[in-house]
Amino acid sequence: MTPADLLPASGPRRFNFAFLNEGAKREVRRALLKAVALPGHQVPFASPELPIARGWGTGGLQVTMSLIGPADVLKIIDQGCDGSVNAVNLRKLLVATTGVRTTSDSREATILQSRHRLPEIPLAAHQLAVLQVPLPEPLRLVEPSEVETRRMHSEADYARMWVSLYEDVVQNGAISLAAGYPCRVHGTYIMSPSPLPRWDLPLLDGAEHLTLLGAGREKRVYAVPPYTSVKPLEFEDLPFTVEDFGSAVCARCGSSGTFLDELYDEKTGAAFRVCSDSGFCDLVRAGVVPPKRKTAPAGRLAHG
Amino acid sequence: MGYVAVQGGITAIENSEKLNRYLRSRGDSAPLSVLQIIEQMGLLVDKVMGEGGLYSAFHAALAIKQASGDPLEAAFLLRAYRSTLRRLADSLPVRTAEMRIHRRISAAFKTIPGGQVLGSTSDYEQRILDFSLAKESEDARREAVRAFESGLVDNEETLHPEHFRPVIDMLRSQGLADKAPAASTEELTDITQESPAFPMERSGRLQMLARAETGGVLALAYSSMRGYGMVHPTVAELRVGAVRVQMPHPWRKGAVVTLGSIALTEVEIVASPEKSEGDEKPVFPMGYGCCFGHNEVKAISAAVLDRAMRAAAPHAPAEDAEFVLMHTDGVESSGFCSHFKLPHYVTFQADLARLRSMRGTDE
Amino acid sequence: MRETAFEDVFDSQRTIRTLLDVLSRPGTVGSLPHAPYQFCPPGFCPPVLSIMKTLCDHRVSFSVGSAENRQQWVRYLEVNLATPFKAVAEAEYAVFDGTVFDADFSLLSRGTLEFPETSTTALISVGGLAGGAEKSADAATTLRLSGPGVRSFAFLGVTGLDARYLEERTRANRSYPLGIDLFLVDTSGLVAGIPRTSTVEVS
Repeated sequence: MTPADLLPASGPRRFNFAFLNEGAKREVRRALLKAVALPGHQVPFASPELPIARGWGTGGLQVTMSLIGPADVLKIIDQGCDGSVNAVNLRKLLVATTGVRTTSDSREATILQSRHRLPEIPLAAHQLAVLQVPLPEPLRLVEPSEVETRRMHSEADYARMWVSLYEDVVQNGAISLAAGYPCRVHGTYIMSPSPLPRWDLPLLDGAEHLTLLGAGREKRVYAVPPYTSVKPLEFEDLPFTVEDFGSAVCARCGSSGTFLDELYDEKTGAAFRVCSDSGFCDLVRAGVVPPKRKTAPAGRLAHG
Repeated sequence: MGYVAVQGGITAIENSEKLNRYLRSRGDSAPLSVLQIIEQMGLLVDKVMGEGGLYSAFHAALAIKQASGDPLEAAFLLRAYRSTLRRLADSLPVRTAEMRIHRRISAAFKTIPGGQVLGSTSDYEQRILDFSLAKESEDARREAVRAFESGLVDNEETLHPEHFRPVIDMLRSQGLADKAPAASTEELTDITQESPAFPMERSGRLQMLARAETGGVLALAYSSMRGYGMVHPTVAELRVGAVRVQMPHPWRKGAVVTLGSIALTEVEIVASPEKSEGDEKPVFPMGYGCCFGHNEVKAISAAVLDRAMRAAAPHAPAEDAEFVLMHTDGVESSGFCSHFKLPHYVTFQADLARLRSMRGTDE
Repeated sequence: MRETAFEDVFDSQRTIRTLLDVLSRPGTVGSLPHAPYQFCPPGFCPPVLSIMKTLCDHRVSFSVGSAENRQQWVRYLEVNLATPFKAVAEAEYAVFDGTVFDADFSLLSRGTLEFPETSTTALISVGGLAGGAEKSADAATTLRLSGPGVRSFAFLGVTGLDARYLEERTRANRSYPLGIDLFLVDTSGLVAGIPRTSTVEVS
């Protein structure tokens, strides 16, 4: 027997448009429609393996692959940045299998796939946000069992979640949850908004655009339709607040009202701040949009 | 100015790919052939086929070569490849009672119908490093093969499947073991086509164990054997051999098409009887494990976990089906483990802001 | 009997984007890609096949209510979808003629508290659709919609929809998250989506 005998009989491999086979796409599409009809509710889906590792965005990727068409314009970011290695890698796979145009300008995108951030310029009605989610279950904070958290959602039995937040306040003086802060959607399901920083949550509330969230490894998709309420859990006397960067400004574009990354200079070790949304920062530097100024004191920050 | 240049990422990725290829290709050795891996690393190929959930020695061996020998990475490659294949049909259930036996033992009885067939196993070999393997020549290898083959005798007759009456059947016929589950007319879960939901019916659990990662399944089964749940297993039967894979004829009703055969390892264990309910007499509860190729540690561990997950009063980790099955898929667990290497600086920034605010310090 | 006009990859992609858009923005009327089907049985609304070709395969099932030409519809859909036919209380996708109320509509699955997404999706063919933020003067029926996906109110003009479908829908959807989700389709390929979260008032 020679190696040639072992080669599979079929010809050279050609991938389907957007990689996934049509059966896999159909299954995701069915799940997404139900997700839209049940804001914040996690809908199970088969989530077969992709060439990208589990935990690295396969959920968001399957959502995008099931919806993208040749006329779409795609922006993919990770931590707000188009150039982040994983965003680059996902973009490579999608472009190779669809040929779509890509952009770093969030205003041009028809599909924005993101890990952990929303763009500083709020998305418009015709734009679709696809968020990558590692752990879709917000109640995992208080309960490890899937059977039990499913029951809790079905009965809207969120008492243990509230108790956990209360204990957090008692112990730490405030709710110490940072990213992925649990939210109540449409006054019903408690949802994890994916590990977005608190900063981005006001952007989800009553948004003009549809947001789809995909967790590939955990095999769940969920959705927030436009104009739907998304309220972070809070106590009456301890309202939800976003991050406060004090008097820091972006060293590249001068914005004081954006989510700022903390960086350390490679040579001098000095600390400085830069906009997490690299696409936005580039637009400001190019003079296309004005820098965003901090408009409100630390606390609830309204997005325009 | 230290800022992530938009173009930097793609160059780094491309250079990393080149570096990987270079590290795998440099040196004076001849390129590893896929056939060499199939022929001389068969147990690794079997392990990868099992964890990848795709029975194809060629593709598993290719994945092993591409992954430079990393079985987790190789299984991942196989699974991703599997996702691109069109699903044509479901086979008929394979009949392991008709297995062409390569190896078949029972720890429960000294002699059994058909006899104990040791087959190929390292169980009784002395684990002494064999340095002669370092200078194995092509000629010596051919000569050793020729010498072995010339000494073979025809024992087709004694290896006929009908001689090997399953041990579990003997126990069942005396009412001593769990009754066999009734052939179900309901559709079974296909874990590759649906999201697993708990509580999961037994077929789904056995499927998940069949393609679980060997080390993960072993660790949890070991915990049970050592005392966290106390499944004292006795191996009623372990079989390794080839089974025919058949499917219903696409248009000739009642006819069957044979597609080929695959190697399987199948283990049935019996465990200590639990207190029986009411009038029911106590029996040996059994556990079942089955996987592609020759992988005994995995099949035994799977059988132990199958039993543990059906414990009447679960309390140990190995008895919690959700715990066992959600954490033993190698592709998912290694993927998630690895994902912690991805940039998390925005979430970390959020944590920093929170911590500083709680400490009352300015950022 | 087997249609070839629908392009599996790109027509289904455009269809799902339209369906997603109209379901997430109730009151919006979308346009399904044109597919000139040749073998539609009498009474069957052709664009409904495009929706089913986008969403149905051997992993789900369909039903057709008890319309007059039911057997023809079943045969047509079985040939074109490779999707099994099931009783209306069990199928994931159910097709109805909106001009006449079909009592089978009351048998549709509303899902369960733990799995509300297992409810049926109803595909109802109507005479005509017209969307807009303003109430339309021409439409036989105007639906006033509110809820997720709608900024405050949206108006959907519908002709050829028996009002009992909406009454039954309201009854079926009274205990959120249980409920059924609908798509209304007309023969020109216009489609509107009404998720269970919408509040619908008929004027």
